[in-house]
Amino acid sequence: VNGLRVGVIALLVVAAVLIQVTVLSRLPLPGADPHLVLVLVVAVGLVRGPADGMLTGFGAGLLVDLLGVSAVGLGAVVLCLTGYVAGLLMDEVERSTLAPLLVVGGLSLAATLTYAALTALTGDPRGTVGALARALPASAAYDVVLAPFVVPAFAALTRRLDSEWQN
Amino acid sequence: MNRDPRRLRLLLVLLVLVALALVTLDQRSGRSALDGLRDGAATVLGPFQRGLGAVTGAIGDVGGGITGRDARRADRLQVEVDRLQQELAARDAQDMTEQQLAALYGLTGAGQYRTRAARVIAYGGSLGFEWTATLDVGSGDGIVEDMTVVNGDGLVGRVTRVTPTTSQVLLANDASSSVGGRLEASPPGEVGVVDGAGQSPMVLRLFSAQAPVTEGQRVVTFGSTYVPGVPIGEITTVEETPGALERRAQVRPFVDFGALDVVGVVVEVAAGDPRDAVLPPRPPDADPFPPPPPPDGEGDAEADGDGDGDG
Repeated sequence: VNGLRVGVIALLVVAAVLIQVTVLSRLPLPGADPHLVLVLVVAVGLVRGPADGMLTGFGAGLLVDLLGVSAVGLGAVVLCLTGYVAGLLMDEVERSTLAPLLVVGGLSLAATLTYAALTALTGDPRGTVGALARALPASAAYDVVLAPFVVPAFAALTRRLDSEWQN
Repeated sequence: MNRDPRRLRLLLVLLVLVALALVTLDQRSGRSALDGLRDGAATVLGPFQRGLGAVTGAIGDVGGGITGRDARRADRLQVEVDRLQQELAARDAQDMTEQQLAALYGLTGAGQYRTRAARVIAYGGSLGFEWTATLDVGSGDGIVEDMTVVNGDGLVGRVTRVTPTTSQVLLANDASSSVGGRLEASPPGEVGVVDGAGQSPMVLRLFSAQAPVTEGQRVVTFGSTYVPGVPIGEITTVEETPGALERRAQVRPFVDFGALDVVGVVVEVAAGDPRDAVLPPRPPDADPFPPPPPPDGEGDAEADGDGDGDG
């Protein structure tokens, strides 16, 4: 069961990263880009709990870091924490439709802020206050829009895989 | 699933420490093992990016749900409509591509640059504010690191990583990008550095605090890391900073960094410095910046005006 689960989640992460860079980042949206990878990490945390959340976040963040030009490891830290926190909220959010959206919005804001602060600490000139002010509300809003598609889809996939394995 | 909170926290701390160790490893100068990992990740995902990037433009709309007796006929008509719409979209896309290619060849012809045409297939998708793009050409097409990338409007950026099938470009508006620039129509000497600032206008820092600079004046690459003479942008505001060591001015880039499509990677510069020849001509009655007398001698200073935030 574990091998299949890890494989499926890893596949989803790679697919999310690819869709992120080839499709979502190219949409002519004002302010910022939607972060499908972050939303997926939150979904894994909310559906599967903190352990899967943080491991998925770590892996996804590492992949995003490797493809980018900022320091490798910062995205891994941020998404790892994001998945963990989402996992802690697993029980509060269960069977609610609105709560996952709030969690995604809040964690999107927190993750972007934390990432900008960490990159600033490493001497990266990009995450300026001006850039943050411009991007924060937009990216959180886009992520909230993605959430009602990603979270239920991942929940359904997980249920399906779990039941199929038991039969 | 392990839900013992103490062990979870231990795992979290462990993962964060591993990630932070990677950060310190990556911060050290020189080529580290992480660069190999980066190249590996880009190489493995490159073909998928190319595939996805190619179909991105071809997403049509999905037909609505009609039920009943006419459904079959409606389906057939819908298929026909879809086909025609796709043809139209393809033709539009082709027209756009041709226009962009024509503009690109206009620019590269004026500058005598030999370029490899390419398409942007992906943008940087990090959590931060990186401005990078991925092109569908790589080392197999003769692309190497540090090549200048242009489009029909002007300077796009510089190649920072090459895989066999793709290459990554640090866009000139990225906050870590610094391009050696020269004011148009100025005698040799009025040079400076154009810094990217993400979505904000670029900033030109002229080395001489007394340098004459006016709004509307255009900036081209100086030619060190980047090939010379590529249009960068136009001065919009000159900052008055009495007593400063350098002159600062805001520059509106010619290139729309958010909507890149067809670009050219400069493989070779056939002639020397084209000076202002690549800039589009101004209306003759309104040229406040007459070109300078032709320079005598080949005393082109090769001072490096580029500083870079990343390795």
